[in-house]
Amino acid sequence: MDEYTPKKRLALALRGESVDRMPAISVTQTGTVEQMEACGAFWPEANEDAEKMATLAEAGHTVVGFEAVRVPFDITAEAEFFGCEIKAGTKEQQPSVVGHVIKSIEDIEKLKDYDLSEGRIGVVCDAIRILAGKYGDELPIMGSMLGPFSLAQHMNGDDWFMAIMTDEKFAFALMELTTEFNIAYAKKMVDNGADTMVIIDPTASAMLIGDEFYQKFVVPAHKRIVDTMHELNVATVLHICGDTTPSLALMESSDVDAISVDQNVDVATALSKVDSAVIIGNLDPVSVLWKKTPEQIREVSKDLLAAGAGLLGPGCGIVSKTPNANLQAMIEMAKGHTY
Amino acid sequence: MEENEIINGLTEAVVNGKKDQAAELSQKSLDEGVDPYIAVINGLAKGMEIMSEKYENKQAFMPHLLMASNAMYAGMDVLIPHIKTEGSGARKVLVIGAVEGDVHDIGKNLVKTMMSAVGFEAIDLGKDVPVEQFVEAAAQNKADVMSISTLMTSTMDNMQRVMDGLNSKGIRNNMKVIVGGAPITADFATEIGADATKTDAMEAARWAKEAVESLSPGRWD
Ligand SMILES: [Zn+2]
Repeated sequence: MDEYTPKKRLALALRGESVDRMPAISVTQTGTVEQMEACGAFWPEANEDAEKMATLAEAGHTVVGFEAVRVPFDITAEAEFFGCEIKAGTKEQQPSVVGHVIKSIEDIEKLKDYDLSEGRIGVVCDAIRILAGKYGDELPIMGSMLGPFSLAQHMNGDDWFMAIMTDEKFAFALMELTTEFNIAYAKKMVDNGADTMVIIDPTASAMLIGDEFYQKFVVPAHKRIVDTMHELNVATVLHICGDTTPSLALMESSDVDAISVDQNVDVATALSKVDSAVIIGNLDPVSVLWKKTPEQIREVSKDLLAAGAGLLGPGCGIVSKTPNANLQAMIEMAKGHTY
Repeated sequence: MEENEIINGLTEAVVNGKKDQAAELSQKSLDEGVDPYIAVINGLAKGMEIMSEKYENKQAFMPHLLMASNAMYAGMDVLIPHIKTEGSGARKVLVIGAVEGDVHDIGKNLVKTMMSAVGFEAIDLGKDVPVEQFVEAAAQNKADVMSISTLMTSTMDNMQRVMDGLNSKGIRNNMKVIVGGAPITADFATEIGADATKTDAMEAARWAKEAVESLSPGRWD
């Protein structure tokens, strides 16, 4: 009898506890065209309909072999929820945020009343409920959301980068709005059956804003989300794009359990920068996972495992055109790895 | 005020991200008869270059850089209309756009800023720019340099289509083409027939400034 269900294995691995072998999962988006064709749930519909979203998430497990299911596939539902204009996605492409809704502190006030059952926020929670109903005992149910700093940037536009320097009162007020939202949303995902929470906060990069602003605005916000999740016994993963090497210690200070690093980060160096956070990564989603052969992917994976990756995975969101066979090569390498 | 003092003041205004100061000093430089081209290049642009280097060295970050670029543009708005448009002072034309954009098109804006800083007149097509629009804008504006960026791997194919469009219109060699964005590698740039890809905005601007030297002056006639 297998002592570890995938659910238990991931829960332990994310907390750095001993397990029989490495879980094979992706903390970043999993949807691909081959999976859509196999399961019949396609983007963009699978971003908007809970049944289809759950079906495509499920394909990550049934078609590809990931030992978890994960939703959603994009990072725009949060900004859309607050009224930002969105450019629709396609079968191969995720939607993107094109309009912003907050210019002043008065605008923030107007957005404080919201109903989490609305919009795609509600859809994601429904999809989680469907997945948890089907796989909740066996598989990790991963919820993912855009983090508070990037959400603030979506809402305020590029002015946000200046606001954190020139208008602290406004910046803290907006961070309060987004952080409160993130906490409520994450709790709702957990209520619906999520057991692992991924925070994707690409623009909260210390490389972009510097350690000082990161410490001031990002760390406290992440910490509040992480603390809330920990109270619910939910493990947390933080993904920030780019070369985050110099700021890993700062990222870890929010008490996240694991950090998903981009392909620009050297895994061995990353490990030397953190205290106990599990380092997840970091096959290049474009030049390796999409473009290379399964054989080459196994080679790159071998190096990453040797370097000490705590969980093998993509360095950022999986590209929709990535072949199943390539993902399966990565999965096979993860499954074959003992700590 | 001495010319030197004004020029240094412009540089400082940009470095410190002082928009109003940059605009005021630019007006002052016009009033005092300073060559507006010199005021832009040795004053404003130099400040932007200093900030860009600080950014690369992690001594300055996006907030400082955006403040600086706002200050530079505030000054340029005052000075540019007074720069003569022919002869050695003529500005080279950059056509810039993203085939796809999201929050990170801040990278594209930075390239535009640095290209402006080294003397290009930037025609900004924005983001989500259709393939045909790149080609049309290049022909219409007699581009010296085209910069195409993307952040999404799914739209990398469109970069190839822009190159194809330039080729079929017979204007590909009238300009230098630089491509950029998170998923773009040097191999990819070569594969689609672009002239270069650079990882940071200042490098891109330096490259472009030099690359245009080899373009023949009468090629658009
Ligand atoms: Zn990423």
